[in-house]
Amino acid sequence: MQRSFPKNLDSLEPLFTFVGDFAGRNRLEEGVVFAVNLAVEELFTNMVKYGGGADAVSVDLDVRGRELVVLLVHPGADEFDPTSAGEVDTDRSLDERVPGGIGLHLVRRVMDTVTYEHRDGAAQIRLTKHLGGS
Amino acid sequence: MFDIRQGPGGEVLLSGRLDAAQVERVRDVLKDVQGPCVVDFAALDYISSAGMGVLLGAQKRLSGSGQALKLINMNKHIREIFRIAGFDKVFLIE
Repeated sequence: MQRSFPKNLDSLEPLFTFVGDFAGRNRLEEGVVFAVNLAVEELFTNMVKYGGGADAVSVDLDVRGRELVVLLVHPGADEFDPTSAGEVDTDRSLDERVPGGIGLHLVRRVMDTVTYEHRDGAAQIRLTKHLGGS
Repeated sequence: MFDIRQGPGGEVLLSGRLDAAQVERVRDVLKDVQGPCVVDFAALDYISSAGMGVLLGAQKRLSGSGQALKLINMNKHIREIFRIAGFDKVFLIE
């Protein structure tokens, strides 16, 4: 199931609806839906804020066997690999913390794999999550 | 659908889905909070890093005067991402 979304924050509501429709059809459990919503929002909003490129981002959702696969494609985007960001120190005190920077950390933790490639002039981020009932 | 309002005791009540498109509404409410404040997540289904960042900003501002937010009634998914982010160490969560 694939759809393109205009690259602005007004797309978040239809994005969540899109994920919800897919989840309903595939009977995804609540925790998986929460994780996918979170991962897609974090990566999509990064594309809105940074990266130049086309005015729309394609989101593709698929279930292959017991694996959920999410692919975000942003044509014309600058090369930026979100998987290369350093680990966040979650033990920092309140004084040492600054708002921001936690989104990609959350994506990496709620999904099983996050891979990036810049191919055919497009940023492509592929996420997977095991649907093992565990 | 997201909503934020203040209860009769000054507590902040969140409901729905707090995503990056909604954070300014939260910022507008929290900027006026001066003392200790309860933020009730009972009707909140979802939050992302954008909303967490606004809460963190308010917590940092309040800590300068020895005050703090208290976050209550989180669902298990929200509680888990607060834990993953290490936010359970910088907020009082009940």
